[in-house]
Amino acid sequence: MLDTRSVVSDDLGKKEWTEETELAFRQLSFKEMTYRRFMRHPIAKWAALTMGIIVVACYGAPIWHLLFPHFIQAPDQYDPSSAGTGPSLQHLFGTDSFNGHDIFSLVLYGGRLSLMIGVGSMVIGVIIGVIWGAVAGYVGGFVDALLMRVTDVFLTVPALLLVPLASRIFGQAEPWHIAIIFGLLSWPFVSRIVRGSFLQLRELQFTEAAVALGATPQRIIFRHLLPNAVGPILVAFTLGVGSNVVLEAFVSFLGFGLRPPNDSWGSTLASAQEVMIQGNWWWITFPGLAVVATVMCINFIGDGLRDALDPKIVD
Amino acid sequence: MVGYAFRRFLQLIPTLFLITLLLFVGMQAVPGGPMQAFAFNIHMSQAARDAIVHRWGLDQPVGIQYFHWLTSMLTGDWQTSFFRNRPVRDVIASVLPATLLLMTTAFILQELIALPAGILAALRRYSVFDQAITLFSYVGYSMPTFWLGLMLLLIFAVEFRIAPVAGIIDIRLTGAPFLTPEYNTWFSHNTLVGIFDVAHHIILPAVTIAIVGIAGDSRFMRSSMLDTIHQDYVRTARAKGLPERTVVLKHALRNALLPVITNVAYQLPGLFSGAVVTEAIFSWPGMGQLFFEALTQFDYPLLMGILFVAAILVLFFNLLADLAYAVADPRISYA
Repeated sequence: MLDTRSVVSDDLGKKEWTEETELAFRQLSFKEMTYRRFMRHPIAKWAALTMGIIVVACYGAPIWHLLFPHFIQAPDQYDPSSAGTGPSLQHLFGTDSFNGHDIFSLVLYGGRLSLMIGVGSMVIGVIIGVIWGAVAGYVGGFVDALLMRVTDVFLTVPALLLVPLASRIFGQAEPWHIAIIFGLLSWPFVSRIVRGSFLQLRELQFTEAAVALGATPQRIIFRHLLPNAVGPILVAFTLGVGSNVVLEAFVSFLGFGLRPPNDSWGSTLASAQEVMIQGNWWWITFPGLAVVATVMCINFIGDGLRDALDPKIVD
Repeated sequence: MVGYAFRRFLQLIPTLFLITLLLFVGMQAVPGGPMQAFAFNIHMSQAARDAIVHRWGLDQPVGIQYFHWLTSMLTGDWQTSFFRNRPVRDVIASVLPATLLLMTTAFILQELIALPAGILAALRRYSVFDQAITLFSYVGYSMPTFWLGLMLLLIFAVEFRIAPVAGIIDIRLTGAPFLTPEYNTWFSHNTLVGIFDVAHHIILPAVTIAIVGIAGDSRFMRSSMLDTIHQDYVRTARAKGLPERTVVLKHALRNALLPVITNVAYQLPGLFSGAVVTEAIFSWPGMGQLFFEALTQFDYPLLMGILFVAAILVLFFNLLADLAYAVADPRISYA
């Protein structure tokens, strides 16, 4: 065995051995490589940082309330005397015109449910979608045709029409009900992606080798094929979170999703619309901006992940 | 080609059947139901309630109900709407023009802006215009359609009062709702005013749908144009000494448009979703608004009819996209 280190440093003309040279010759692990490539994406890095701030701001809301009780109100706190006032130093995003809730606090508290539904639904969606797509892509033939027909059904009826219908199944919906329903409606597009990559992967030689070595189908699917399909799945997950945050906002806005006291960005917008004609622009603007900012960050992160995980893009 | 189209068409039938079956059964699982409309009517006797349940066929097993619905879809008038007392087919036919009008207007507006913008951005890569388009498309792409509609409504209808708040026509002007016989007579006498009236109402909802679409399409056009403009045949065209105009329009653009056409066709179902959302915001009397009304009332036949038409539209758009792909790209053959 050659000692690569000595050979290399000789070749480099007695240059000092730094961490940089070390990295240049060491095989990077998949995670390290993805991380480095992601951070090199010009906007994804900042989007991830902003997203982190949004998450901390929303989920830390009860703590911010304890720390700054005059600035951040708990959801059950309101001040009727200041109802319907525009943005000020005391109320950054103004107040609502029913009870005088601070909109900034509503946005922070509401973000918890919006984000929970976005992430929770896609966790469910990815689990079902991966299993469904993996079976279809790996087994192929009749099973594939049957499973994909069912997927077609879900992809054909616009989700926009299915979700309001489905979200009434639980009657007065709890947040986790909505997450489950959204998850049950978001798996088809994940399953298509998984099936697509499985159809390619199962023809490759390493799969053939695994079969020849006597690996069980389960082992082949979960140990050999799935890790190779993780890139597209991760991207689909990220983008799905974004679109489900928007979908939740719309469904709650129409009154088919969450209702107060389960405040989300959508339900806040719903009550804002009732009095929009009075010109309380801040009430409708800021919760919506929160959705836009969040979804934009998520989309940028998805873009960054896509580039970082794409083996066709060479460093 | 015709054979391919026909085979694709035949494949749609089992999909459609499965969709309607799942929807029909799923709909019954939703708690509530059409009878809740009379829940607080104390003057209504139990016998009267039973009579309504019987008339609507709700006392039969789901399988039988589905069978009745299916035969009515294939041979009849799509059953009668519970709360409108009119055949579902007629109800949908009366609102479909409004939805299609909105979709077409939005689509034309969207492509008229998105395609030239994408081409210009590609030709002047990294210019201020290109950066602006890129920024716009990222923001537009992340924007919830309904919120964008609300903001436009807030700015142009509430603050500046230069656009109407809701609807498709000004009823004080026409004296009758859109597309009723009275409206049609009025329209035939005041065609210009009528067109202007609808145009005035369609601007905000159409712009709302278009903005989100422009965001996606202009980016796609830009990247497709960038792909072709660096191809060897474009360099050859330049080397021959052809004027830049010919190089761009004849050699680059024609090839760049190919993937754009299919992409646009695949986006058409999104256009329908956009219309559904916008109708809910702007009280546009189309399919979307009708759907949410039917949903609150649990008008099963009407709901099924709308979902059926929506599914048909989506399947039709997808088929169109596949055919456009086959026609536009000579390298793909579908024997």
